Amino acid sequence: MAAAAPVDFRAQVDQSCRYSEEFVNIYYDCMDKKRRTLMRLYLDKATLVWNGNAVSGQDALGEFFESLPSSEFTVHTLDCQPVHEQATQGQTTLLVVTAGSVKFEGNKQRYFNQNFLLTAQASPNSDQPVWKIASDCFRFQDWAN
Amino acid sequence: IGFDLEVAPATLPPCKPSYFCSEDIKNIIHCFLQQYYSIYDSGNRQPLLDGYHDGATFSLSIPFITQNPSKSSLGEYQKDSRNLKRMKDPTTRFRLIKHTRLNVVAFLNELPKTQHDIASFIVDVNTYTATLLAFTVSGVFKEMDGKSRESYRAFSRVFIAVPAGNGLCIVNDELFVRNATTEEIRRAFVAPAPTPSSSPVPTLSA
Repeated sequence: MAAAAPVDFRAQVDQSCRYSEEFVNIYYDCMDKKRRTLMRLYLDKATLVWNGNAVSGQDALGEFFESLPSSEFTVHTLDCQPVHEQATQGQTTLLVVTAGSVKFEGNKQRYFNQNFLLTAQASPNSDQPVWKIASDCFRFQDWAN
Repeated sequence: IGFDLEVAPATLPPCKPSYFCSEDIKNIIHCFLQQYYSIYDSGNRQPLLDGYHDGATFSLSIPFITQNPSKSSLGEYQKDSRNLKRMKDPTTRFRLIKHTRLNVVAFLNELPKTQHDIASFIVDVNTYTATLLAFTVSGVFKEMDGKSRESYRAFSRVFIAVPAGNGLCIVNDELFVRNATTEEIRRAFVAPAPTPSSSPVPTLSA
């Protein structure tokens, strides 16, 4: 077994499940219905890789999301893991993985895989830290067809 | 008389192949994937222990199958699939996370024997810092256990790794498996396989 972790792993897992369920509800609701607020979920220096297109920074992300046709996402699968502290220099981070289907207006329904790294950040608006997306990776399952 | 609201319909950006950030990172990841999958597909996954951190975490998920689960043939993965949309019990959710490298590799060793089509791999680099490299690999593999005919699967896998020597050490690993589409099967394994490594048991981290 590994050396005892400073925080109980079971507690980390329970917490990651709770937050990732909440996150996924908020994220896809914003994506489908409140696209303009979506970029507020991202860190200033967040990176998105969308079907191989890299977009970085809040302004560019805002522009990118505005340019996408309106969407209807359905998440079928959700998994998450607490990210090891050695990789994050102790910053609380979650890996959130989703799969499901999406219908972009004017396009046929597609299946997708998406994953996020969420990091807990101090918020200027609140005493509580808030979750921000540090990276977001999205692909259609049949992107090459 | 109408209103001038006509705008060009929004279109989706074209899909692109792998995104690596830089040539250096591309080389590191290529090297890692060659080594990792040559062991993964070798029939004995035990040497993967060298590639995982002591406190590594692994979990597996499959698509939620609405109709006729027996026909889906993802049976071997079903019992280990960690889908928080479907399972609400915290104990089950915890049980399906494999934690520490011994548990992770023991679990990987139990999964069906595979042959991956490395030429089919698409890699997206999510993010990298001095202490972290997170990337997503998608591709196609076939299962070698099948008695009568081969099963083709497609996967999407997120690796989060920390630097170790000249290589990488995995701290988080999430594997999504689904059935390959007819088109994916048609295209799979057509490119020549990469030249096998000259050393019989490649090491993952130097």
